[in-house]
Amino acid sequence: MKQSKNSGSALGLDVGTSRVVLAQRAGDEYQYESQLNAFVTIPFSKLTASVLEKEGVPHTIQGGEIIVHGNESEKFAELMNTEIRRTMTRGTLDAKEPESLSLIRQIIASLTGDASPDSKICFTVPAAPLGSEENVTYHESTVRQMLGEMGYRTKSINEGLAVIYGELENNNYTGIGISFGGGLCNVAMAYLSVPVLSFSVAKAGDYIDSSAASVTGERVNRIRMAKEETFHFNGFHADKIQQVLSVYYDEVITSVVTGLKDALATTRNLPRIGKPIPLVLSGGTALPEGFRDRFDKAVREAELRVQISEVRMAANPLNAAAKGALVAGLAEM
Amino acid sequence: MRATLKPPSPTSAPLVEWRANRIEDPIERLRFLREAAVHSSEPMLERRWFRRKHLRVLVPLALWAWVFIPAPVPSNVRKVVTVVPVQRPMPGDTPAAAVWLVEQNSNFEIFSNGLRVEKEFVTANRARGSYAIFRRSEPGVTGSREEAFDTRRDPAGIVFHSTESHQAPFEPAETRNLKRIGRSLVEFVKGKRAYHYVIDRFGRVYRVVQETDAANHAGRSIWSDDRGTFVYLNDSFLGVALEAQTDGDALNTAQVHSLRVLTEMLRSKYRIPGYNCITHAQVSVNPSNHRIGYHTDWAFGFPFSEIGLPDNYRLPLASVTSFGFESDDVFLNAAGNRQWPGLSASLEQVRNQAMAAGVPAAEYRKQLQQRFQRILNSAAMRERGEEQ
Repeated sequence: MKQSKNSGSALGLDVGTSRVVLAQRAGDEYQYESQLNAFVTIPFSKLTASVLEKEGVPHTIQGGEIIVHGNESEKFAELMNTEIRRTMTRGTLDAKEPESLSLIRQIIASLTGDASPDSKICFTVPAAPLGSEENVTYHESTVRQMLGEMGYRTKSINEGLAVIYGELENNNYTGIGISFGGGLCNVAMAYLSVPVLSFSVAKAGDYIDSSAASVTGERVNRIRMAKEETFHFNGFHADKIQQVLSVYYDEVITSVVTGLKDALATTRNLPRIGKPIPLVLSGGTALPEGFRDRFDKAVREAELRVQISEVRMAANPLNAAAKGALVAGLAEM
Repeated sequence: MRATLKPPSPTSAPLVEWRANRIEDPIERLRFLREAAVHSSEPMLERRWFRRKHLRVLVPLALWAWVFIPAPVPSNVRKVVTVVPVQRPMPGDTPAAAVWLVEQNSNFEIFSNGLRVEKEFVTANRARGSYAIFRRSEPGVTGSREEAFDTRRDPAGIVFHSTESHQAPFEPAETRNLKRIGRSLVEFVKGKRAYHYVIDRFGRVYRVVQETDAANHAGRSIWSDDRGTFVYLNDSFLGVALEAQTDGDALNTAQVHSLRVLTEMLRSKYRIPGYNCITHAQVSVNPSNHRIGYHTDWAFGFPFSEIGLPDNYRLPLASVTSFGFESDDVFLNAAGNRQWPGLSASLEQVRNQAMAAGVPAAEYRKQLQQRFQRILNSAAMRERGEEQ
């Protein structure tokens, strides 16, 4: 059994559609571990099971199937020429996926280890998507209950606000934080640490992948790998996949900036900040080269209600939300 | 998401920001800002008449007062006759050099200054909650306040202990014995959750109670620094014990080296000032008879300079100057019949204060002792009032 990583201090957990990231503090340093929030099923055979056991690949045997979860699932999906499956969709637990609860629990447990007495954990939750009837109550309650059963005292934090807490300490936690994730783009604005607005947009990494896959006829996995390994914004793409990715990336950026503009315009009692505020980008979908410049241009053209001093990438885009959750947990639990 | 807290108003925000900018630690800064937001959301500020007519004037004034003016004297506290303000000398502190974790596994941690921490015996205890800091208001300044004026979570200092356990001769033929005794000692400490760290005779550093938890090492104790007064230090100070006897032989070279690198690491990690690294004898008190030195480990002979600390035996004792505790012959005897400069100065200071106040010293001390009793009576301190 893995030893507890929680020594009474708080942990930060970013529960994302694509990845689950754990943050913890060691002295003045922050340490991170992550697992893909995904799994793949392969037919059961004794030989396969023993090889997985020997290689230490996280898996469970269920009925006539072996379920490989976490970081190794993508590799196995490629080997088996099949798609990975997710425990979450569009930022929340996938109610249609029967294995989602047990698998996400295993994925989280593989990161956190056992809870020790008075263990505390602060986890991220998405904001409700714009223009959607969906809410996140079921998702938040289920994750909270799951962590509670694992022995943790829990607190939740909006994912966009977590980015602000993780990245904008030098601005007294004033500014806009955006997490470009797999299922959702989460946006929040805070003034002196107090959340002023938050929302999410249901177009994010998975939307880009599936849209590009349907246009090109490629498998989603292949599109995802192309996106993560070679895609960049440079205005010219000879490869069709790259061209299509560029189109859908632009659509995501436009959706987020439009959503931000509308939210700022309609938020009542927006504080008078009196000076430009920073905007920080995080998440795996924001990683391609040139993304920041493209987003910066869109923001300048949108003429938002608040002035933006800079658009910058998070120091650690994949871990910013988990760090913010940890900071919130340490400060408030 | 609907915000439940309110950001500070345009008039108060600059002051909140100014104060937040002075807080270096991002966690503390966030905590402060969230608390400021809570204050902004208090019901009184919701009242329209209040907001309209007075807010623009009162909020900046209140914040100015909050930042610059010391808290007032509660009306129910008897004001002590004005005397010369007490000056608490705080020697210039040299910040600890940076020490960082280099390698770790389930058995040990290695730090950049060579410190190796053994983790075999690590155990949990009650998690360290936020602990109270009391106003360091020696009577005569403007009066006294019994309420905690601040709370913190990180360790504020280190209390050094000796285990006062059986000592086998430190020689090669006794190696097996020394190892056996050391091991059983650490197991005993683990069972009692007595210290955060134990350094054995070979200089091995064992983490026992994890740093995030309180250890039962300094139950009845008092210390103060330039920020305020700490009462009952289990939560606020880390406990480091040396396998040694105060009146036995001096520590060996390995122990001194380990103590030095451990102290460096803890000071670096928690930004602990050198003047908050003190011995158990300096902080221990007996509230039932108002005597200092209920425990007398390291009542003398602690190697402050050899482990890179100032001679903290020179520091005055808050137990004496703030709360009227006294020394006696038993303690003096335990201290090797040598009175520390800090203790002498503290006793002298109280006598002078009493003289300036025009009251007998005994009466003056009684007033101070009553203040300590009022602090102990508060609910927060009762929770922490566990006997060691």
